Amino acid sequence: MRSPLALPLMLVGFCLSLSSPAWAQDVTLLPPALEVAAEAPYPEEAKRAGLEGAVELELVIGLDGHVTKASVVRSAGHGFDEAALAAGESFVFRPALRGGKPVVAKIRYTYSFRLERKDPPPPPSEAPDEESALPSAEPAAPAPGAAEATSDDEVPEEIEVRGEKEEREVPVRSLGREALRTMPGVNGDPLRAVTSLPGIARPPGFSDLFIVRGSSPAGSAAFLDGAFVPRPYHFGGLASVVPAELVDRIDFFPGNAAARYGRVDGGVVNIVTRSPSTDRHHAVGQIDLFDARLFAEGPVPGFRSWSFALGARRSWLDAWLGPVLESGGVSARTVPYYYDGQLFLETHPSSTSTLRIGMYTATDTMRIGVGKLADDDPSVAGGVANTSKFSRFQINYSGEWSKRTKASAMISVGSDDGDTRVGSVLAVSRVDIVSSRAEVAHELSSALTLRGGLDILAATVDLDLSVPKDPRPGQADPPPLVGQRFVRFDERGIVAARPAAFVDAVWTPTSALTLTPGLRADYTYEVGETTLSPRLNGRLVLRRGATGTALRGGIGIYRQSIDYNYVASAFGTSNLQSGRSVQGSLGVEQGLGEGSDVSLESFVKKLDNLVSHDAARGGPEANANDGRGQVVGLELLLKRRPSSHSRFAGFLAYTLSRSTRVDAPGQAERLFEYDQTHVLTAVGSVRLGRGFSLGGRFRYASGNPYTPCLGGSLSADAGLYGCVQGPPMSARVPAFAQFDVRLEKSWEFAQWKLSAYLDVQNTTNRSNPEQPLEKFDKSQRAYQPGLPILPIVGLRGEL
Amino acid sequence: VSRRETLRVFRWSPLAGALGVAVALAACDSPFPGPSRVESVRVLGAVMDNPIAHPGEEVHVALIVHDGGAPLDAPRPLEIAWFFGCHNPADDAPGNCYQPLGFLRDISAEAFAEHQTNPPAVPDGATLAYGAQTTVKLPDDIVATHRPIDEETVPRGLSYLFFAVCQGNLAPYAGTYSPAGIPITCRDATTGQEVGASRFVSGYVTLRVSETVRNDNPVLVSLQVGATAPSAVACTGDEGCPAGEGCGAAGRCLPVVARCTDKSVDDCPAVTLRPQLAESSFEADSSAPPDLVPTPPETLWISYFATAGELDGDSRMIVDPSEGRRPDGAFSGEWKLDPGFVGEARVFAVVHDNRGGGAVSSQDVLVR
Repeated sequence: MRSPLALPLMLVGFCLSLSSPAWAQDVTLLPPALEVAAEAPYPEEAKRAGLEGAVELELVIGLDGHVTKASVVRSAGHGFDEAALAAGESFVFRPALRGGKPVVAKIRYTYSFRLERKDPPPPPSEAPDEESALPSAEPAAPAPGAAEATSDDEVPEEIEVRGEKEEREVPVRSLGREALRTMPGVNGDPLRAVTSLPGIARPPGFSDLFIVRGSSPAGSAAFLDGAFVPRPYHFGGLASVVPAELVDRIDFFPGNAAARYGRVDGGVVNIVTRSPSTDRHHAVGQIDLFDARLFAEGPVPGFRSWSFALGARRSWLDAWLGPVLESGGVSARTVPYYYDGQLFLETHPSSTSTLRIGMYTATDTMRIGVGKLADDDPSVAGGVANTSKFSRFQINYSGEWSKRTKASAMISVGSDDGDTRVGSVLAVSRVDIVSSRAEVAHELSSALTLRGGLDILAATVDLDLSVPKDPRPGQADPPPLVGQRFVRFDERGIVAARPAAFVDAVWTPTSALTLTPGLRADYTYEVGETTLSPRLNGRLVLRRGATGTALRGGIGIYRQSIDYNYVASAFGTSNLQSGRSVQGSLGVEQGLGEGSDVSLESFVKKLDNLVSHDAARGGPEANANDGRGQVVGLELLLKRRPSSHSRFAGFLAYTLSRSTRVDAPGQAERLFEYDQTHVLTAVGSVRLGRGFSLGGRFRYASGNPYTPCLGGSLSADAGLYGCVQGPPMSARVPAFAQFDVRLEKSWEFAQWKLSAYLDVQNTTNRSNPEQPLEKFDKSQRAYQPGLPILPIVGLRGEL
Repeated sequence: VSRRETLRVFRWSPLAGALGVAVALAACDSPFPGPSRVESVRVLGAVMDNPIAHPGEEVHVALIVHDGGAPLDAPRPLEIAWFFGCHNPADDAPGNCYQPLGFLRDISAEAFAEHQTNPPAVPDGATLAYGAQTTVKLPDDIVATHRPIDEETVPRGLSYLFFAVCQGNLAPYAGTYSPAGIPITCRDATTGQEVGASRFVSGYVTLRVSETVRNDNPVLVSLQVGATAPSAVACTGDEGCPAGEGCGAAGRCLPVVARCTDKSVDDCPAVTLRPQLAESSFEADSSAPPDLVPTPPETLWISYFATAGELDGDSRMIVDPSEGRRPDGAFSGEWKLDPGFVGEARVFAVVHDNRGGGAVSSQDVLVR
């Protein structure tokens, strides 16, 4: 086999070798016009200091006139950036028109903050005080090259209208940087913030699982700028491996994702990192209960065309958690710690292209001697040890080859290492992995854009395992380790390759309707399987404006890659194939004016070809693709953005769903193990003035189903009890409810900004049951409680 | 095939569960006591004369039963029944025997009650027996009829011998899902009400069969409680016992342990439990795949039980398959008495190997 690097490298090289030709097309263009302008509150610190400023924003305006992306191009500091950004995100435009049809537009917009003087004005030598200065923040003259943001139709000559990818036709939910950082209860962690969105079940405590629309955790995936992230969270879901400072936004696709995403039948989380600042050097330092981090960005000294972002973080749990565990009777030799690092370099080879080179790594280590485990199983009396790390070298390119053609490419090369030991269990793995994406979008006409590309994943795997043989889904719980027969599996150079190609079209037959038909083809080298996955998404705008209405729907086939353990020579069955799901969704979006909107979406999934286990088949052929399942649900999202009239922002997310499985033909339907009938999240924050902000998050979720132990059956020769199981998934853990609060205070100084925050999780100290605990003879049951009240104090400095 | 996917190899395994438990324990302790304190009807182990038998051989099995709900010198009557007839169940899983043993539902409670005079009829191939010990004969074709496992595994057969121990009267279980697995329950002899786990234990003994492999039981020579070895001489009073011993209710000299005068059991002094194993206990695992060189040792572990007090670490490894044989002191037990407790107490040590072998020893002590 040729090197798995060859094809992706060729693709990237091809993309980089092409220059970006000048815009030559003669296109009749009507720029966007501002219809609803939100007024930004004047930053308190700046107001007290008598400072004025102007922030240059870059706004991407979607087909319906809403701002889909806003970023700061020229910073003014002192809180002006955040205020302007929040206001800019709330603007509503009449969309740009080309040939009479709406197109996505990107404009520059300058937001000016001016202090209004009372009459008579104070002497120039005196600084204005609060009584004498009435702050106002208003749209000001546009910066050079920016669009005039008024309601008239003047056309700035420099306006840029680009073939930006438009994702609104597929169900996507995005959280911006500020929302990610300040959400209560997540300690500023971006990925944990995403789990508050509708469609995501609450993960069990101490876990890092994404459970999306009733799919298995393995059915969802996280990507960093398009590259698969093997482990999005540090140990136990404490923090994501990507620090908030690097994140521009997170796009979450709960289902019916576009054809570019595959190999999963659940949700997709794409973490979009932001461009490093180019104006000057910035730095952020932060420390809290969990970790300390540093982040720096700015132009590369000596290479002004390049900018960099550099981040590093290390937990210090090991400094204080050990004594806590010891006092609780857990003999902690070394407690968990994690660290990660990132370096990104970015340049613009031309005015319309961006090249980014990134390196990132993350490591988690845990060593705990847990004496109590010996009660149940002496083979794990030595405790638990786990080290896992991954590192990536990644290149991203994006550019416009013409006004109508845009291309992007990504290649990511790296390795994942794992070393886990639990008593006699040994699991050492190394995966050398390369993933690559290349995508071209070409606008055939103002109504039709074609997109196509390749999505390649290839790896070599080394495994050294000493694990108990069997069991697989559908089997009874495995007996304790000590009595089991172990299998030693030492295999090197296992080759896995999963290339895929995709194509779709964005067709806008009328200004109100957008259809996106797509097709994805996947090949799985290990099992020699080729699959085709057709998809169709659409969006119909019934009414435009701040109180507009749109319908959205989609249907498609999605494939869940076969788990490696099901086909590995030591464990699995060689002729298994990927799971399949047919997904459909239909929803409505309704603008409520004043920066508020609501969306309601129903979804259904039919799962089949799931791997099931039938003992009657026996041995390595016991697995087969005859499991099936069904998921139905309803999602509600009510959002409120900050505006000039309200300092409150927040959202309410609710999911009603039911997910079931039939493990094998003839078996009864059972609930999916992470089925949660109700999941409700309410998040709100309010700016109190004087640099204070206060936020709260309330979560309610039905407990996960589980198969109850009716009693115990003693294996007398091993001296250990096994569970006599009742009807599958016939009991539920009691419901979860938690209220979190975050209070933040910021001080702005001439050159830097300091924030202090208190993030209190589980403010009411409610004892939330996480999972059932059984007495040794299975005669009594209790529930393991989740985290108690957890106040986290942190300091953050921004330069 | 990413790391995420590769790690799925491990997710189904008990490894993931153990990791989860470790994390959970980091957050909280179990609200339940461990298994070491014997306060109810308990089966502490089973000893077979032939832990790996040949096809067609007989195997004698004895249950180690203790009723911790009764004083040592006044035990309550126990009904013990054996159910034999499940061979090579699917996936070698004992849970897949519950259905084949469904015939037990058809035996009336009266038939169970009259088993000594009028044993109930059972299907061909099944056996119903009573008492703390039994002997069963394995089928001649049990290895031949076991489904092929894989190339590196020595061919074998498995049979499960189920038992039920009841402080009351055994009776068939009428419902669909029996808490005991097998459709048997235990009723109070007076009220006829079903009793709980404190008076009813059910389970199974795994009978391993091979045409080539044998396994000897470990040999637990003695269990020493405290600093001196027990003399076990007959006595009628303390004066007839050596120093450090007193005369027990059964007329034997027993080691004397000082009662704990502290307020908390955590503060009570620890009494060391020292098991002595014969060297023959340490075997190579002849069931291991032949290409494993050197042949790994047989796994051995020991579990401690006591009718009073607490044990720090109920079970300990003696021979760990990865770390090998541990030094003698590494698997000693530490026993702490309840504050203020005086009287006789019994301490048990049960040694298991991972191929069905077992040995048990107990020692009574006087707490004064």
